[in-house]
Amino acid sequence: MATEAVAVARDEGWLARLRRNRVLRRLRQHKLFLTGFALFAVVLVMAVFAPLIAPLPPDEIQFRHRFEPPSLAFPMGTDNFGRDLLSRVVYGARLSLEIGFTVVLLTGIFGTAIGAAAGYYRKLDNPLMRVMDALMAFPAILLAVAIAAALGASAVNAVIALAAVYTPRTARIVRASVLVVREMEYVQAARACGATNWRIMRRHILPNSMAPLIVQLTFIFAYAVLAEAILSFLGVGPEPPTPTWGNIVAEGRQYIREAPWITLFPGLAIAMTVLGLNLLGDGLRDALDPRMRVQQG
Amino acid sequence: MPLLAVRNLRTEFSGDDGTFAAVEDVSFDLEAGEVIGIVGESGSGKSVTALSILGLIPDPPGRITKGSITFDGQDLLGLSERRMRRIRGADIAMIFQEPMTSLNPVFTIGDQITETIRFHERIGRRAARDRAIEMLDRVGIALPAQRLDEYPHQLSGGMRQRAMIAIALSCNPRLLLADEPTTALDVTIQAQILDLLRELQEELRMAVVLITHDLGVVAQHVDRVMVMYAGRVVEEASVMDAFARPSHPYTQGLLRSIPSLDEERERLDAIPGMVPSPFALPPGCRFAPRCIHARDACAAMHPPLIEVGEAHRAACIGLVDYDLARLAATA
Repeated sequence: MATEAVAVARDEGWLARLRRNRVLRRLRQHKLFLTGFALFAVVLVMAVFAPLIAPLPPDEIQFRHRFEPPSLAFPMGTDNFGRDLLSRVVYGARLSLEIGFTVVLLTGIFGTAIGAAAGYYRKLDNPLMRVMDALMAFPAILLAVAIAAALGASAVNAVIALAAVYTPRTARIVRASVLVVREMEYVQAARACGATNWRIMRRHILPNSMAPLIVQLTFIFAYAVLAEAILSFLGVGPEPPTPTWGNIVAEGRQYIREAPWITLFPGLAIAMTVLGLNLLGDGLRDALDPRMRVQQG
Repeated sequence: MPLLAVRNLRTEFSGDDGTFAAVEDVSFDLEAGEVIGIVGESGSGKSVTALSILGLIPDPPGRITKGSITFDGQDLLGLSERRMRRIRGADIAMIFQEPMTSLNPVFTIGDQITETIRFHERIGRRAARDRAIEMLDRVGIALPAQRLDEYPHQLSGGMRQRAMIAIALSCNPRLLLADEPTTALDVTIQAQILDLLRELQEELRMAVVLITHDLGVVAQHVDRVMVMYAGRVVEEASVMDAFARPSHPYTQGLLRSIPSLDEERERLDAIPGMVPSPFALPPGCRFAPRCIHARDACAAMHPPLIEVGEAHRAACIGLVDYDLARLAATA
């Protein structure tokens, strides 16, 4: 009997374990999370399968069809060069998401490294966090524009600028949770078992401080998509003709009276992505909240 | 030669409000296979003593400023952090008060046991897993192979403490420091865990330092008792002597505040007053302000530990001639 139970426990696949996972179960019941997930999924699918979805290449110029309003042939209309706006918005999702994702990756890595070092080593706390505070003293967009302008307008520089702006926020959050986890008894217990600092950090502190970071990163993804649009709009983002939502809006701005659809659709795409990511983050925050875990457990 | 010899240990903490000694002039010996109980209220320096032995005093704000700790002939205070890590978990292990929080919630019990084993021994994954199963079985966890893959939140408090013990004992330490191992548990579970510890102690012939504020725990499970008050040792005796002939007024007070089934009493005797703040320690004997026998002389000096019987020492000048003590204090 006993051995049977053991066998069952061990044979239980990852799928079954996933099905029982508390966080996932809670996410499945969270309507706003599902809405956000669906919105973001649409954008993601658009970006990944852009060549299949877009009816025309994004930079194909058809002068016969300039400024055409949305129709069956051009669902989102065309711009001043007669380029199909749907194709441009679909392809624009690629660079916008790539930038968002890279910014998230970079802020995640640097923010975690700085925040964890500051939270774990008391001596590093003040020097590191004061530098972060100094960076946070600037308005985010202004700083990003300044960095991007100094480095020159390109997608890579936009990513660097945005990562530099959002890293301090991430570092703060990681530091705060490392400060809490550091005092947990299991950290003390690991140390009493002879674990090294590095091991304690990697196995005990970081995995237990990740929840607020994951939530924050979904928001940073949203901010980055939005900020990229702002940078492009101001002319310090990725250069045309590569379509990003930001520079499509920027280009369409001059024709907003005659052809409002040029700015409307990429604007909607930005709004949808940001809304989706925010809902996603809210859902994750609720699902990962330890207080809610206690209620259920 | 004793397995562990602590001599004149002084551990200080410094903060914005100044520096204080959480442990002062603590000395004791522990033979291999012996069980000693350290008894005292919160803040008496019990846990700091244990953490000092393992070299786990957080620095800053803490620091060992005086004394020596010798384990198996090695001076622990002189060892490098690297050598000390080898000793932690392998030779000296520790279990903590809160079984609810002393296991990492994101890893399985098995992960946490094998982590410690593989940290100290060159041993394969499978072999470590088998050893972990064996350890869980040994600490009385049913279906050990199944429990191994469970997470801490799936276990009850008693089981978690058993798992903690399994982790602590997985490398066959010669010394176990148990810091209030049963305080957070139900009374029935407490007895089980203490019995288990005693069993394992005899089986593995390890020495144990059992830290507790519960004299009842001490009575049944240790060979020798050390009573601490405000950072100092006030009495050291065999369990029999401590209960039959308590010499220090603090020990006497502690024993009087235990409810007894034989006597009928309206109220229990409590020791009046509170443990002094480490920043405002009274001069001389630290217990004097709460002591019913206190005299002027008590404030004059720290009473040394005085032999009052075989292997029985207490730090109270009431045990010696007052005139002699006063003379010593003024000299």
